Amino acid sequence: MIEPEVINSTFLNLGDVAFVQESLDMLLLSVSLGGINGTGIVEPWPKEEGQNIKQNDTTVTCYVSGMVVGIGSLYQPTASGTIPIQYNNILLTNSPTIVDPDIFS
Amino acid sequence: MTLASKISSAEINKQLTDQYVDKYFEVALVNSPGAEYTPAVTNDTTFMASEVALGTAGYARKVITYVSGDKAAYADKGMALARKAVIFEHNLSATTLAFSHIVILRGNGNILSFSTPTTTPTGAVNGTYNNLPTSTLDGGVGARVNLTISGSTFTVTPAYAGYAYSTADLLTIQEADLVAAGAISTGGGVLVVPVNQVTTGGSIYSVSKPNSTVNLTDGNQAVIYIDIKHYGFYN
Repeated sequence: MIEPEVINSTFLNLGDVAFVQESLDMLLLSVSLGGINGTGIVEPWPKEEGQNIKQNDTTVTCYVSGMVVGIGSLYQPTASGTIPIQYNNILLTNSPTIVDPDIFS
Repeated sequence: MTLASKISSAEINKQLTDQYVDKYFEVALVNSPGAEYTPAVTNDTTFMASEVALGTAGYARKVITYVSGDKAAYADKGMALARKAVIFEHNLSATTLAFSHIVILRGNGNILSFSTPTTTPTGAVNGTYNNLPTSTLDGGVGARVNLTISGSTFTVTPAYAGYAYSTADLLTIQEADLVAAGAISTGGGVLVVPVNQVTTGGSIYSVSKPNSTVNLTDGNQAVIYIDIKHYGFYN
């Protein structure tokens, strides 16, 4: 065992240092880690080993779809990107030339 | 025991209003085949450096905006926004318009309003002339305007907000476009109007990666549909 020492001390007497040994029974009920990535959000304690609760209360979803068509195959949306209601959410004209019906598949 | 709370429809409605209504978004094409966009890992600026160069086969970003009426009623534990669409059209040049990612960004430099014109044409005809093209030497892209003429008063409002503009940028409506619209006769001159207010932002909202690089040629068009919904999950 290496005894503690104070370097360059002019007022501490090593004889005044006391050592106390105790047994400590600790029950860990919960842990606060300061939040996830500093957000202040603390995840619930898992109910079982290996189980992590990842459910979010709110979620933003953004779905993007697209196709490639030939000249004259599309109606135009408005300047704000709105699809006129008569087009039923699809801009295809009645006789479109489809080059790629789904660029995501 | 911890349960997910029930998020009220009023809260989701507020989120949509705050985050989308009267807000501008830009749809951009990035050509970086093989690149994977990972939120909080990928450097956004570096990623956007691979955006298709302005003017390549007619490429320019497209701008969309939402209004209050675009909010659908609460259903299925959430609220959706109306579908939006943009079209990228090849300009029939010999250059291919290729892209590997579709990026939606918060709008930046979209024109919200104009100041009083600094130069006005002569011989103007009273009326309202919509969707007139503009040009500028100050760097913005794509703005179109509505012009109302009443005597000596010329009022300009945005018809298409464009992007990358700054306050005090000067936009010009060319004489040929004013003549074509019937606002003036030949020789009447141009109209110059300063930008008064623009949006600020520019951060990436989402990135989507097609199955493979999309190549637009021969005047082909790519139509991109955008559907956004906010959910409030609960058990």
